[in-house]
Amino acid sequence: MLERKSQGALTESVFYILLSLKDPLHGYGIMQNISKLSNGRIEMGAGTLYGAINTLLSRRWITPYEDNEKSRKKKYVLTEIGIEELKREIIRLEELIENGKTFLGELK
Amino acid sequence: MKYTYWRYFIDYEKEEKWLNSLSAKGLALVNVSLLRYTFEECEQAEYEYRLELLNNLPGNIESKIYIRFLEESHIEHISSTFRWIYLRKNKKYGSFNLFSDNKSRIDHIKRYIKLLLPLIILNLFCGIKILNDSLKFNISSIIYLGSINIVLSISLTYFAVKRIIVMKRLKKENIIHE
Repeated sequence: MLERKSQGALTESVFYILLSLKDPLHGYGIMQNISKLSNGRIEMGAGTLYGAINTLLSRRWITPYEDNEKSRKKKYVLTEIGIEELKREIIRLEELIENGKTFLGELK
Repeated sequence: MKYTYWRYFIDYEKEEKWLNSLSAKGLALVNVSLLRYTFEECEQAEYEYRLELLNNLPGNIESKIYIRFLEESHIEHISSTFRWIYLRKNKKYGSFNLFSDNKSRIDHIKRYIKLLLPLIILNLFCGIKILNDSLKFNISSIIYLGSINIVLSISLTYFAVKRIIVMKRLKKENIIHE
């Protein structure tokens, strides 16, 4: 895989959408899951979610999921690329947390 | 029982507020055609209403896919005029905001300004042309027409500027917060 330049932080929305798609889930499920994960802090708007899903689909971080159930709702699931991007982001976040904790330690 | 109101809005947030205030009183919007708003009785404050300006007309395939996505999230598509769609969500499914980050809010405002801009220019151009002609050929009867164009152009500019100010604030906020 080509070494990519640092793309900076993922948005909070994208990060939580990706976390929500370890298993296939539809749009409304993603919204509910994000609300649950953030203890109700983030109420994702359907319009915002739709835009984010389309961007993630076009980058192939997520993919439409076809299941045998005759459920009308369209589901999505993480791809390998999506998992890699999540891992990269978690490493970046850990760096932030580490440095933040060091700062707090020095304050005392 | 159905109730009909005739209203004219340029500011969609005002329109949303009006629809939600009626919904709080127990009148739920069921149809919009041009300036005519039709309501039905509902439980008080049962629904929350939102308006969205789409990129395409509601009949367009991309719009249809989007509207279906909204419907899968308990959002009902009530009515449309041109590229505007009227949406509502029953409050038992939680609060209703279409946009939850600044980027998508800014995108929506940009769409709105792009809608107003040609109308502002067209009205200004027509107004100046008509006023000019009425003076040149001494036809006083069309002065009113030209004045209406100019007034419309100015008031549309006012609404566009109002949104531009909001957009600037959001962009500034975006530098610090997402």
